[in-house]
Parts: sequence; structure tokens; C-alpha cells
Amino acid sequence: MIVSKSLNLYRGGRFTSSASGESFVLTMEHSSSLPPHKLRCTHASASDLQACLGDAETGFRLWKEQDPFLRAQTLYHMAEIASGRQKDLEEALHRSQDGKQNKAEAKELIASLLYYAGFADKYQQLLGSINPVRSPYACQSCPEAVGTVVILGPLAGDPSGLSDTVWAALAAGNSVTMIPGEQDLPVAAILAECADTAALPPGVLNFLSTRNAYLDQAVASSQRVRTVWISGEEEQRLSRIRYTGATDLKRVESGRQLRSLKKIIAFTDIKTIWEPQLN
Amino acid sequence: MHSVPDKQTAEVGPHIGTHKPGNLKQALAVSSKDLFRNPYDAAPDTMKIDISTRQQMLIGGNFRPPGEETYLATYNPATEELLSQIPLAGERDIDDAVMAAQRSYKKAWSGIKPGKRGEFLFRVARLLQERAREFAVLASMDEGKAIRESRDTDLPLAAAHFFYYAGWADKLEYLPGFRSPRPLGVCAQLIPWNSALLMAAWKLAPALAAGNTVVLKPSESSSLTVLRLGELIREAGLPDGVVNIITGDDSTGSNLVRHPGIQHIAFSGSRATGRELAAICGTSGQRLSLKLRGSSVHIVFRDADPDQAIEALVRALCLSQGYIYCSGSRLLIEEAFAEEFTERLKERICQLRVGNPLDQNTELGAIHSRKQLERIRALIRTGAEEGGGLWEPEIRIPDQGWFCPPAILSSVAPGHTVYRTETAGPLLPITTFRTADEAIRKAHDSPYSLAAAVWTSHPERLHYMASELRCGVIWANSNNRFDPSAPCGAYPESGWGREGGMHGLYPYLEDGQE
Repeated sequence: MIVSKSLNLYRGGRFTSSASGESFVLTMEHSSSLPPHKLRCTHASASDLQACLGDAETGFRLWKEQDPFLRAQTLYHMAEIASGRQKDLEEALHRSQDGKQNKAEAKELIASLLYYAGFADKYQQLLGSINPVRSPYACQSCPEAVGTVVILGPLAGDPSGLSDTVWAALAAGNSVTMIPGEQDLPVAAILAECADTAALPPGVLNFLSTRNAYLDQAVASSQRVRTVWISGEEEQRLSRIRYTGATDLKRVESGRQLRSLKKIIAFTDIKTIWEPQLN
Repeated sequence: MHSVPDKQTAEVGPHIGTHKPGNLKQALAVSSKDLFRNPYDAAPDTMKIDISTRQQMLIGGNFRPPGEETYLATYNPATEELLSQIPLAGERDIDDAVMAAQRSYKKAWSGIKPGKRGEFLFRVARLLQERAREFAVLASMDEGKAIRESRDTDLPLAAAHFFYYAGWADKLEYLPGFRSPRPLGVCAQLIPWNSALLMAAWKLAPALAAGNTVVLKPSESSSLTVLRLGELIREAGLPDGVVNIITGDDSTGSNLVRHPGIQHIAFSGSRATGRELAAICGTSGQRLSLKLRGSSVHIVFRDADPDQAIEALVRALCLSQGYIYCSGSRLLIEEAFAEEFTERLKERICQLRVGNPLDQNTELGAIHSRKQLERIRALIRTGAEEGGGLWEPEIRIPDQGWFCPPAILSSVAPGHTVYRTETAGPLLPITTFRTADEAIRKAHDSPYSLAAAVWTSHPERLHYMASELRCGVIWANSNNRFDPSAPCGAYPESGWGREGGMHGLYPYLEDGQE
């Protein structure tokens, strides 16, 4: 017997359905030899987003309590789990016709997680500084996570761009809410399951599934969101979110570059501390 | 409440007679009755500065009048006398300035070797040091700030900024995160009136070191030092059009940022304008760095050294007449210590010397414009009406000029206007707390989190506060320290990007390998 699975939201460390009780049927454009695959997904509403951001705030506190080394280890553990589910990831990766390319993409998802796991306890040294000030003070600057980050996947779908950005934001110490493009929902759901199995503290990684771009304006106007990243080049969408996000000076970035320290720069703020020295 | 000195003393500054020991003792005896708390001999800076009656703008390497021949008056806030007239740049002037910056970006500046760019900036730094006194006096006349501040803080710091970033010009490839750093193009930079020269240096130096060209627009009430900086930049031999300076009011700034030839906008100022700019840049795709007015906090614990904390607080109230974004615009004080501390603070404020900005004794100068003075007075009134417990010192202020002695609002609750707004004047709202976590909560309970000063003698508590407070700069047992090598800026709600240090270069660069 096959139990067909429907996609749930993942927030605050729990898989849940929408507060509004809505769902939708997603048609996956599978490789041409197969019939289109249909999948029932929970449809997250604006109130789910608000609840999710509340969970993300708690998640950020829990994530901050762990030291950078432990964060690196947790992410590494998540890569182990994802590696064990590589077959599932391959199956969920829909876009390419060719099984080999799916395999390569699934491997890349896991490899980039490993890459950023290694960054979690190193970017502080790369981006921080000891400032040679001209007065008797010990002055240092260190990067700190911005807090709650929302990552929007491109509507056309781009699993590696989306996951690369999610890993960067997590490694930088933020809590992340990912809202993928429709075609990426199955992959993202598996990544959420991996996060759950790897025991990421609840609320650190959250997953919302919606119809395309449905939550954009709610994300842009929520004052709980500190930074938004669109992991693709969608100029109109970017400028719409930037325009709304200007009300509370939210940072809204976008870009497709992979494995980049620049992403970590975007997800951190610099704090400078001055301490007087006795002389 | 503020008694006015008689004519004779007003001319030479608020001092009593000549400085003879016998006299002084007598004077002190009189003073307590007569509200003269600290007699001193006036020591005004006597340097004569030539200020032409009509200023010109620097566009494409030449100083020229505005196309439409319209001017704005600029006053000496300490005397209310007309200082000069500054051009009101029309749309054609703005277009010319942006075009000049574009031309020089393509032809001159981007072709120059990075090391050579650095040499130009070194020369600007050197010239600024050589002409420091002239600039300091002019800044005090133009902005009303005490000469000891413009001379000892602004000028050395402005020169140091050029010097620091000059050295970066040929080392950009070592910046972490950039594989092949590239300048952006033409930057529009809008700076506020307070410490105009320093603000100009903060923005110009990293932009130029990164290889951009600039159109700079100072605030209408303090354009004189910035225009003179333009002269100095020309003297330093920078190619024509690398730095263009246009003057005018808010509409000029708004026309400038909407010009399609601008790639990057840097703005320091009010939150409302910052939001507007974020919306504009959101749709236009221009890059933006913001440094918005903050309501920074002083957090004083019971175990702090009160004398140190009070001195720093008073300095913060005086710095740019309380207008600087980082200065402590809210005081959070541990409840058990509040009464004693506030009494001592009041005592110190009564000793404050408010008056002629050019006098080297003066601690607090004049507010830059009448409009701002009225705004501060209105805010103080609002604070008092909302039940803030207003206290104003009994000190003398000159009868002419836009002076405002510091005011304390002693029991301010989080709901009060002064707690939530940008105070931007010598006004100190005081709120109490009981635990460190309550202090942190109250510090965060305002969207403007730029800087914080923490006063305590427990190092553990200091480190806890430093790691928990979410703001761009934290001063431990100190306040308002600035340095070109130390990044300064706010967490998201009050700003994007940093000024100072290697982080100050990031806003002005993009990566060629993306």
C-alpha cells in the first residue's frame, strides 16, 4: 500500500497544517517520460507567517545560545542526515530530464551545506577586526547575526540557489523562514525534515508552502523580519518588496551567487565595542 | 529662568571682571546669588576668516554661481548675523554636476592607478591639517558649535579619515568577501548640518578611495565649511569633476537622488527621509547606505563611577549641541542610584558654560537654526506636559543667538514622546531600571538603536551587556569615541552600512566576479 503524502508547514520544530485549513494541489512538471505528478500542499496564510515569525524569534534566541562551534556541528550533522536522504532529494528535484543531473544537484545541496557548516565558526575572524584606534582604548568589531531572516525562492524554481542562501543565513547565526517557489516545495520539505531529524533547535529553520508569491507583501511589511533575500534574479519582485520593506528599513537583497562570503556579510551586522585601557 | 547678562559682560562673554585672585573670591561669593557659578575670562579665537558674501558651487572643477541665480541666506547661529549666501542649485546645476562626475569617472578617475588615488587623498589630509584652525573657526561660526569641539575633535578626525582611507586605495583586493573589487560609479552624498566637515570626510574618503566620483550636498544651514573643503580638494590637485559640491535645500537633495546618473546614495539624517530614500532606491535599483538619527542610550549601573559618567553625559549633551546621532539621547539609570546621580548631574550642568562658540571656554554653543531651536523647545514642553518632570539649570545664556541650555526630564516612561522620538537637542530624558535585562529591554524599546554607552565597574556585566545589546557601537565606561579605523553605524532599523574601518569601504564597492 502507498500512503500518499501531503506537504505540511514546518515551524517551531513541528509539522503543522495551516491555521486557515487551506491547501492546494501542486502539479509537478516531471520529466517528459513520466505523467505529471500531483501533490497536495498546505497553503500558508498571513497568520501562519506571523506565527512562524514568532517561532523564528524564539529560534533565533536558542540558536544564539549555542556557541559557533556547536552551530557548525549541528549543521554538519544536518548534512549527514541529508546525505542519507540523497535518493529522496534526487526524486524531489524535478527540473532536469536527466537523472544524472538530478544526482549532481542533490549532491551539490549537501556539499554546500557542508561548506557553510564550516563557515559558522570562521566568518567572525574573516569579517571582524581589531581596530587600531588613536586613543587608549581596546576597540574591536565583530559581525553578529541580524536575527530573523526570510528567504524567498525564485518563482521559476532554483533549489540550489535557495538552499545555498538558507545555509549561509543559518551559518551566520540567524533563524530562517524559507518560502520556496512552487516547484521547489518538495525539495524544501525534505530539507525541513532533515533539520528536524538533525535536532536543529525549534524555530531555527522554518518552512512555509504557498501559492507563488502569495506571502510577499506580508513578508515585506512584517516588522518581525530583519532581512529578506530573494535567491534569484526577479527585478520586479525585488523592487516591490523593497518598496514595502522601506517602511521599517528592512534590508532586502537578492542574488544567485553560490558559496559566497558576501551572503554571510548580508546576513550580519557589525558591532563595534570600545573599552578603555588604563595607562 | 535664565537671567540675561548686562550689555557690558555680554560683549566679552559671561565672566566677571578681570581674573585677580582677590576679585575672584569676591566674585564667587556674589556668584551663587547672582547665578554666576563659574566665572572665567573670555578667550575667543580671533582669527579673521574671509567669507565672500555670495558662495559658489564646485562643478566639474570650477566654482560657479547657480544657473538660476537664486540664493539662500546662511546665518551665524551665535549672533543671528548673516554670514553669507549659498547657491540654490537648480535642476540644470544638478544635471551638470552629475554629468561632470560621470565624465571624470570614465575618463580620469577610473584610469588612474589606485596608488595615485591614494596620493591625492593623502594630500587632502595634509592640507586639512595645515589649514585646521581656519576650518575650525569657520565651522564654529557656521554651525554654532564650541570651538574646542571643532578644533579638538572634528578637524583632527576629518583629516585622519582622509589619511586612513588614502592607504586603502591600493589594497582593496585584500578586503574579505571581494574577489575583484570594483567601484560603483557616481555617488550622491547628502550630509546633515552637524559636524558638516567631519560628515563630508566620513563619506568622501571611502568613496574616493574605492574609486568612485562624488556629488556632495551639504545641509543648507552649514554649507560653508564643505564648500571650503571643495577649494582644498582643488588645491590638492584632484582631477576636475571627481568631487562636485552643490548646495541648496531639501528639494535640491530630492532632485539629486532622483537623477538617473547616480549609482549610489549615501545619506545621514532623519528617519522619514531615510525611509523615503529606501523606497526610491527600492524601485530604481540604486544602492543606498543610510545613517539615521538614533536615540542612543546611556546605561548607568549603581556601581559606575559617577564622576566619569556625568562628565561623559555632559559632553554628549554638548557634542554638536546634542544633535549628534550617537550621543546619549536617553539615560537609563539603576533605580537605587537614580536620585543621587541625577542630583550630581544637575550640579554639573549648572557649571556649564553656554555662550560664544568661538570662546575656548565654551562647552555648549548655539543651535544651528531658529527652526531647530523652536523644535527642541516644543519637545521639552511636550515632555514636561506628559509628566516628564522638567528641570532646567539656572545658568546664563547670551541674549542674542539661538542658545538652549540643557534640560532634564527626570521621570520619563516608555510611552512618552521624548522616549520614542529623535530628540536632536541638549535634552536628556531619564528612565530607571532595576536589572540588567530590564535595561536591555528598555534600550531596545525604541526603533533607533545606533549606539549605547554602558557604565559599570563589573567587567562581567560589561561583557554581558555588550553581547546582548543590539546596536552598532558600544562604549564601555566611555562615550562618543570615534576613529577612522573603527566602524560606526546602526543595526538595521537605524541604518545600512558602516562608516569607518575596512567595513566602511563595503558600501562603495561591488564584486567584479559575480
